Amino acid sequence: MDFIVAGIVKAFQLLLQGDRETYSAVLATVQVSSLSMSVSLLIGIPLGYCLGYADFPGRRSIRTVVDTMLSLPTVFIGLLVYAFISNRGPLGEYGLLFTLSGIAVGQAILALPIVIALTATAVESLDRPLRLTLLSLGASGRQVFLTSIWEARLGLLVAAVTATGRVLTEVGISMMVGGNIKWHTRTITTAIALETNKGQFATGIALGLVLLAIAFAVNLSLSFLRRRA
Amino acid sequence: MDTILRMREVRYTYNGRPILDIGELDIARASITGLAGPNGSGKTTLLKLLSGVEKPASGSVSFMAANTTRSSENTVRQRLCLLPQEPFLLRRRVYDNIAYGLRIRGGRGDLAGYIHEALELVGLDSSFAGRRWNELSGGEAQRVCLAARLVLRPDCLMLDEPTASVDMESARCIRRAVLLARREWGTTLIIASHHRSWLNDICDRIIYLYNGRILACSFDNILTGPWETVDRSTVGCRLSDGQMVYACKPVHTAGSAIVSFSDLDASGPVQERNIKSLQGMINSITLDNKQDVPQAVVSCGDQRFMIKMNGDAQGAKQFWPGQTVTLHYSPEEITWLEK
Repeated sequence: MDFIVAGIVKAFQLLLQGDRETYSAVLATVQVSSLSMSVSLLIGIPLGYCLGYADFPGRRSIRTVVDTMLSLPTVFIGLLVYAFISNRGPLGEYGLLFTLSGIAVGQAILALPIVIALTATAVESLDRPLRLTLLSLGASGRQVFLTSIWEARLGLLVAAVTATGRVLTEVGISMMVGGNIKWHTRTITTAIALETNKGQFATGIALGLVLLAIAFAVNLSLSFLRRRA
Repeated sequence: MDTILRMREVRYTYNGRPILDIGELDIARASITGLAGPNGSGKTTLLKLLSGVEKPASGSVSFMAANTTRSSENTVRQRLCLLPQEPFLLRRRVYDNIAYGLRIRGGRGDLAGYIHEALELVGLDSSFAGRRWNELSGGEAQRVCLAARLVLRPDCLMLDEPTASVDMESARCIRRAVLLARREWGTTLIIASHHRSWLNDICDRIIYLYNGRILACSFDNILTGPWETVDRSTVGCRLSDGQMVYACKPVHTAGSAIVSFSDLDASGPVQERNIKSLQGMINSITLDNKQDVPQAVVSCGDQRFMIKMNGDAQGAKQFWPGQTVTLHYSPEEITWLEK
C-alpha cells in the first residue's frame, strides 16, 4: 500500500516540477487524439447524418455493420493499420509506421463508428416535422443539413465525448502502430503500461492523473455547452 | 387569368401507392383558393407539391413559368411558403425562429423591426420575441410559425389546416393576419381546411379533393356504398333510414359516386320517368357570400347532402331548418369516381 501512496506523492512532484518525459507523453497524447478526433468528426458527422436522415436501400444493413464496429478491439485495429502502413503494406510508401500520424489513423478508425452511430441516433431522434418546416421556409439542402446538425447538437456532443474517451484510453493502437518510442510516439497510456512493467509506479500514477484531468476537462466542457444549448 | 402556380398531369405516389392525380390546376395571382376534402383526400400532399417541398412522380409544377422542384430553382421556392398543420419551432427563442427564414435569405444585422412587426400581425406583443420555443401554448406556437412566414412576405402562402388545433382567439388572429397579407401585399393564399363556412366566406374558389383527385363539385354528395344490385342495369345504395339511392350500373365494380340534386321540393315525389326522389329534413340553410346563392344541407338518415338552391336568398325563405323536403335526382346523372 505504501508504494501506491508514495507513487501519488511522486506523481504530484513530477507534474509540478514539469518532468520532461511525463509532459512529452501528455503532449503526444493531446496531439494524436486531437488529430484523430478532428478527422473522425469531419467524416463521421456527415456520414452519421446521412445514415440517420436519408432513406435508401441497405440502410439497415449499414447500420448493423456500424453498430458492430462499435466493439472493434483496439489491438485488431492496430494489427490492420500496421499491416497497411508497414513497409510491405499497400500504404508503406507514406512512412506512417511509428509516427503520431499513424497512430491518429488507427484512432480515427476506432472513433469513426462511434461518431457515425451516435450522430445517426441523434438525427433519428429529431422531431419529424423539422425537415418539412425548414423546406417550407425555403431552406436549401445544405441549410437543412446545417440546421438539423445544430438542432441535434446535444447528441453530437455526446458522440464527440464518447469517442474522445475511447481514443484517449486506448493502448493497443498506440502500442502497435506507434511503437511506444520515447520522446516521439509514447502516449500516456503506453507510458503507463511501460512504467508499470518497470515498477515505476510514480510516473504511471502521474500519467494516470493527467488522463483523468483531461477526461474531467472534456466532461466539464460538455456540461458547460449543455447548459448553453 | 394571371396564373401564379400551374400544375399539369401531376402524379404523386408513396411506396408505389397513388396518392394524388391532378390533370390540370391553375392558381390565380392574389386569389384565395380553398382546398376541401375528407382526411386522406390529398390536401396536404397537394400543398407540399405546390410549395416545392415534395416532388411529383410525374408531371410539372411551375411557379410563374419556373419549375418549383428543380434544385437550381431554390430561389423560386423561397418565394413560396407553406405553414404545416403541426406547429413546429426550432429549439431557439421566438426571435430566432422568426429570423430563420430571413437569415437563410441573406438577412443580416438587426432584424428586430421586421420581427416585431410580424409578431404584431399575428396578435402577439414584442415581449414574445425573447421567449423560448418551449414557453408557448399550442395557439401561440402556431401564430409564431405564421409570423415566421409572414415576415418573408411570400408571393404565395399555403396554409394547411391553420386553425385546426388552436383556440378561438388564435384562430381569429390567424384569419385576420392572412387576409391582411393578401390585401396589403397581394399574397396569393391557398388554404386547406375542414372549416367549410370559413372557406365559403373568404375563398374566391374552392377545390374539392377526393381520393387524390379534384372533383367537379362539392364532395358533400358522395355515396361510398355498399351498393347492391337492383336489376341488370341498376344498383342501389341503401341509406340508414331505409331509402334507396339508385344509380346506373357502372362498367367496373361500384365504389363511390357523386349524386347531383336538381333542387329542393316541398311538394313531394314527382312521377317522371328517370327522376327519383329522396325524402329528407333540412338541417341548415346558408348563403354563399361570393355568388349570393342559398344552399341547404339536408339529412336523409345519417347521410347529409348539400343542395344549391335555385333562385336567390329571397326565394329560400319558403324553406326552413327542420322542414321535410323532397330531393330529386336522375340515376343517369350519378357520376362514378375512379378508384
